[in-house]
Amino acid sequence: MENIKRRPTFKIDKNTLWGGIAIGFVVLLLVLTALDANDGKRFSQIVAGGLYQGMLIFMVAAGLSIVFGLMDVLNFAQGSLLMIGAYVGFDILNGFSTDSKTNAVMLSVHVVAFTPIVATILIEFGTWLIFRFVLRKSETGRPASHLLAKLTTAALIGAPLGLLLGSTIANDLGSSSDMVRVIGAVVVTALAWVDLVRDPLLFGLRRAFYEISTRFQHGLAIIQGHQPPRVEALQYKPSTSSRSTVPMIQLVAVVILGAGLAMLLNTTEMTTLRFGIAAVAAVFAGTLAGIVMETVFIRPTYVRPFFQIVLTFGIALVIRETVIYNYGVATKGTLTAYLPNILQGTFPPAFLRDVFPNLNTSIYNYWIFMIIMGLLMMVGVQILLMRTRIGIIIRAGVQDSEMVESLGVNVRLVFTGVFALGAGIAALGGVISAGFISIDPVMGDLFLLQAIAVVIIGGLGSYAGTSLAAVVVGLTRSVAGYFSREQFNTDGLAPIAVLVLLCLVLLVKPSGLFGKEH
Amino acid sequence: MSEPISEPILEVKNIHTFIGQFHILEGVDVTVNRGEITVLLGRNGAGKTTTLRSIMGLANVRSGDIRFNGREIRQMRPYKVARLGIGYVPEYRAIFRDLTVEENLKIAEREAGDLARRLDFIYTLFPDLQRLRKLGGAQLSGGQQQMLAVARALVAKNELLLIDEPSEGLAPVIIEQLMAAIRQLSDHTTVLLVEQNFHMASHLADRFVIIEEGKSVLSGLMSELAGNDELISKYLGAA
Repeated sequence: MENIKRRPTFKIDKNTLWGGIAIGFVVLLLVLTALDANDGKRFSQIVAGGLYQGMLIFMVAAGLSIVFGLMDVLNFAQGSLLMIGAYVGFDILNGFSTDSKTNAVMLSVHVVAFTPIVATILIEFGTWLIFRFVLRKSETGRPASHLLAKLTTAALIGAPLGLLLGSTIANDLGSSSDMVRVIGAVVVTALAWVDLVRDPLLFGLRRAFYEISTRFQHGLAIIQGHQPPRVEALQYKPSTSSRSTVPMIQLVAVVILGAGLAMLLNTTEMTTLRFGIAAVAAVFAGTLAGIVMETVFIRPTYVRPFFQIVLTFGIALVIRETVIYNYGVATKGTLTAYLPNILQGTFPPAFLRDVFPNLNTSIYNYWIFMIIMGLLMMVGVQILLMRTRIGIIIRAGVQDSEMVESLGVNVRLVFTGVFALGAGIAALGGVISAGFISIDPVMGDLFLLQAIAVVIIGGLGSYAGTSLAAVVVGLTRSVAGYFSREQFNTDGLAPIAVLVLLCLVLLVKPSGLFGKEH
Repeated sequence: MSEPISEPILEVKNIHTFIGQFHILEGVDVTVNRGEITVLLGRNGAGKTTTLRSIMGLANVRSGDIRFNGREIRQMRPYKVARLGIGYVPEYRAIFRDLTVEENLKIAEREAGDLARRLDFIYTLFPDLQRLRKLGGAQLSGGQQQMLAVARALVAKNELLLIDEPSEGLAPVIIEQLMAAIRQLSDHTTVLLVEQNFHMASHLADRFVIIEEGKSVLSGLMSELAGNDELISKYLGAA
């Protein structure tokens, strides 16, 4: 038997080497900037500014990179998904803040469309959490465990919202959109009931078809003189999906949640929650757009790669023109007015400045928020890729999706899911950037170009490379912007610097930092 | 009741498979009986691999019948075919090189807990894999990769394994090991094997099917073929 004895080697892993070089480059840039700026406040702004730009670019590049790695599709419409996120977020926050009659229609759409989805997702997620961390694996199949899990989550989610409902109704009774809330509650209830009767309904349909077809076969066999096939009675089995096991609990929670959310629409308080809802809605819209894009347009072109490029480019144009048609070419400004207080203002806040008088920085809190969100996405996707079964499937699919399918995995579904994930992250990037960068119909294109540069610099199909390259590109932009303002009194060098960096990488290592040589 | 000696688990009848515009299989019949090892023999390019790919749903089968446990599986998507209980071990040891040994096995789970149930069996069959479980697929030797590829097909409850040229490019010692493993696992599973190595094929298989230029031309018991040098040289070149 061969033993794996390893001689100690001093060869450096290629990825480590290029990662090190990239980090060295960033450090060099920052040292140069620090020497030149010689001002802590200025320097902190350059660094934080670079990081937030990097994170926003990352949110577009993440989907681009994973989708390219797995399906070989370079999605030119990824930037448009960011724009969709920004406009949906804007639209919803805008709809919240006025209570004119026309907006009542909009409100009802939001109530009806989003509350059942949000409630269902919350409860399913809570149930999943309980199963994952509280209950043992063997209990997954038991209806009693489901009941317990749903009961707990419904209580945890429903109770605070019930309180909210009570307190708000008292203040708000008699305002113009009461009717909307009633309609919303009724529709939500109806949806929950559909959920309740879904299983028996489907069973009835299946049974009817079964009866007709077996009787027909029976008759046919007798006419032809064969032995008629045995007829087995269909048995009713409620589907094992967790959704239908405890519908009443869910129903109550959904109604409470729906009413609670509806109450929220007309207040100007609770900016955090409202911004949260807008973000959820934006991500939902982006994900939905991604799913439609993949299943309807991209799926038929997997065998014709060139078509994909043209097609996704076309989709981007269509989305842009649709946005212009709906909202006009003018910029919509930012969402700053709708932001929670904590996200406005600068870091460090006054009380910290009193404690640490030497803390000589002044960074917008919102930049920090964007950086944190970007890092969360970065780490989250990394965990998804490295630690979960779906991550294993994605990484394996990057190499050989046919083999993954041969092992019993529905790869087409995985493709759609991954595309939707990328779209969701881009849309989140959109709604987040809208808090700081003004919303306009070409914002997506600007991000797309840089995201493509990031994906190429990082190495096509390498997620780690994309993450690193996003940070590098963001900081490069920011530093170049600083020097360009200093020397030439213009911002123009920032985008050029990214392209120069791209060219340099292509010359030195055409496969990108972490890319595989072909 | 008489003993069911030859209950077919897989019946391939007169399939015609195309790759692009090329008519690769022009009528292949293969019957695999439960509990036996059947081997597909034939020269390079005869269509053996395409036959396996046709069964898995990975190739475009324009006509003919493929029945697994009596159920028509032609035109089913590959993942559905796999879920019916067919494990596929393709040529060239298509393991996932960027995944660890453990992850390579984990991905083959069809239900949670599959791997835990089968791990002991897999590690007794291939003790090496236990030692190597944390290593990346790319770091394994050819023989270890092949073992991993076979092991991966054993994770889920498969009734039939399609194994394509397991001995290709491996050292004789490793081939012996693999043969022992395949013989051992065939106590639990039915196997359809593609094998150029006649020595390996004749020692393992109960039945054979010879494929030539996209047609199945001869089939029967391996014991009958093994002694017949004339047939062997006619269809397979030198024995």
